[in-house]
Amino acid sequence: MITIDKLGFSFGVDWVLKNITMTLEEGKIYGLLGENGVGKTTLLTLMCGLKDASRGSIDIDGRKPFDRSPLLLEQMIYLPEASATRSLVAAEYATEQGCFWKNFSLDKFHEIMAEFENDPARRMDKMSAGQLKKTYISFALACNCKYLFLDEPTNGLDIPSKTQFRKAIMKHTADDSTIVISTHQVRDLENIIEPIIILDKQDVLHNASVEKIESKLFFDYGTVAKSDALWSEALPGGFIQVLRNTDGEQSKINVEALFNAVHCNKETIKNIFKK
Amino acid sequence: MKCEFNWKRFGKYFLYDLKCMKRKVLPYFIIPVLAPVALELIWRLGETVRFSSVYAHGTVGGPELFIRQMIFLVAIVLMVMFAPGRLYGELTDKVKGSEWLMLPASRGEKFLSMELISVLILPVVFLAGYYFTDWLICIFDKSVGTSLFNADKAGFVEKEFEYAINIRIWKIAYYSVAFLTGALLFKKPRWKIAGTIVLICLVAAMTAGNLRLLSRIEWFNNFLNYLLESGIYAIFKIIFPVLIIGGLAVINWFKIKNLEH
Repeated sequence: MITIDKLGFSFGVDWVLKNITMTLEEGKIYGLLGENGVGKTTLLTLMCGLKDASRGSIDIDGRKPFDRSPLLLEQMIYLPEASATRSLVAAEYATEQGCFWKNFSLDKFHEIMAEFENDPARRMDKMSAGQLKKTYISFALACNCKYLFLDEPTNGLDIPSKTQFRKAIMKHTADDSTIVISTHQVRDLENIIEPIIILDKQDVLHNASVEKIESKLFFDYGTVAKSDALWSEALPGGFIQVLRNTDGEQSKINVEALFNAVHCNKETIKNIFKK
Repeated sequence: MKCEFNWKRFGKYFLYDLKCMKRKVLPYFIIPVLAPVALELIWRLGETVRFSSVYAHGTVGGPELFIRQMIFLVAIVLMVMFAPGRLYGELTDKVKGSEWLMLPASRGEKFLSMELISVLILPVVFLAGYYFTDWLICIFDKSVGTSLFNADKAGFVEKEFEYAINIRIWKIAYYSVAFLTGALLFKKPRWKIAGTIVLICLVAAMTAGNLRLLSRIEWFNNFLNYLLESGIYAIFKIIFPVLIIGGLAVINWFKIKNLEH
C-alpha cells in the first residue's frame, strides 16, 4: 500500500505539489489525470523515489522510496514517457536488466513481445518510437512487480497496440498489483483505470472510485441540452453531459467529460463528493 | 537510511557494469590501443621517404622510445578524459539516469562498482592493451629498442619507494576519478570534459598561487624543510594520491546519493 501524507514538492521557490494526501490500495489501476504542468510526472517520480519530497512523506510497505532500498526497488518499475534507445537487441536488454528483479520472467517478456507483434531479436536503436515503447512495456510487465508507475504509456502506440496494451495490463499483472498510470489519453484507458485521480495545481482535485463517481454523477448521452449540466459538449447526433446523479441512475462514465466537469466546477464537485 | 550492501547482489551488479563497459567503452579503446601500430607504419613510411633522398643516408627503423612514450601519454590523456564520461556520464540524463537509479541494487553497490571500474579496471584494461600492442611492435621491429612496459618497469625499480605510488597506473587512476566526478557533476555532455579540465586548472592554479604566497613566509619554509628532512614529505607524497582519490570518491558518493530525476 502506498500512503502519501501532506506531500509537497518544489523546484526552488515554485511549489509543484502542495499538501497531497491519499492512499493507493493494492489491486487497483489508478488513472492519474491533470492538465499539463500540474505535477503528474513529479508525483510519479516521487512515488518511485527518483525525487525526494520537499515536505510530507511517502510510505510504500513501510519504506521511504527515496532511500532506494533494493528490496523496494525490485518490487517496482517506472516507465517514463520518453524511451531511451540502446545499442542492444531487445532480448539481450531484457536478460541483462531483468536479472535484478527477482520475479522477472524472460518467457513472459517474449510472450508479451509476441502479443505486441514486436521482434525481440531486433536492435533497440533500430526500432521505431512505438516499437521501443512496446519493448519497455513488455519488460515492465515481465518484471512482475507489485508497483507499476507508467507515465503516458500509450503515447506513440498505434491503435492495435493500444488495445493490446489494455489486454496486456489486465492479463499480465497480479491481482494485488498497484498500477498508477499518468495519462492525457483518457479514451485509451478509460475502461481499465479505476479509481480516477485528478490533479489540479498543487492539489488533488478528485480521487474517487468508478462506483462512487457513478453514484454521484450521471453521464447523459441524450439529444437535449440540459441547463443544470455541470459539463456539456455537443457531439455528432447529441450531447455528452455530466449531471448530478439525483435518482441513483447508472450511466457509463466518460472520463474526458468527467475531467472537464471537475475542472470547470472544482468546488461544486468537491462538495458533491464530500456528501 | 540504512546501507543495504549485499555482496552477492554487488557481484551481479559489477558483472552488469562490466558488460556495459565492454559495450560502451572497449570499442573506443581500439583506436588508441592500435596507436603504436599506426605510429610504426607512419614512422617507417617517413623514414623510407627521407632515406630515399640522395642527401640522407641511414637505416629505416621504427620510432624510438621517447617518441613512443609521448604518443602513449597522449593516448592515456584521451582515455582518461573520455572513458569515465562515456560510461557514467549518462547518469545525469533524465531517462537513462532514471533507469539506472531504479535498478534494484543499493547505492553502495552501484558506487563501489563505479569506483572500481574507473580507478582500476579501465586503466588496467587500457594499459594492458597498449603495452601488449607496443610489445608486439618491439618483437617484430628490433630497431625500436625496449618496450614501454619494460621501460616503465625499469623506471619503477630504479626509483625509491616514495615514488612507487607514482607509477603510471596510479596517476591514471586519480585523473580517471577526476573525470568521473566531472561526468557526474556537469549535466551537459559538452561540459563533462571541458568543465573538468577547467576545474583541474583552477585547482592547480589556486594551489600553486597559495604555495607561492606561503613560500614568502619564513616559518612555512622552515616547516617545509622539516618535512623534507624528516621524511614526512616522502610519506605525504605516497598518501597524496590516495587523498585525492578518496576526496573525489566522497564527492561522487554524495552526488549518487542525492541524484534526482
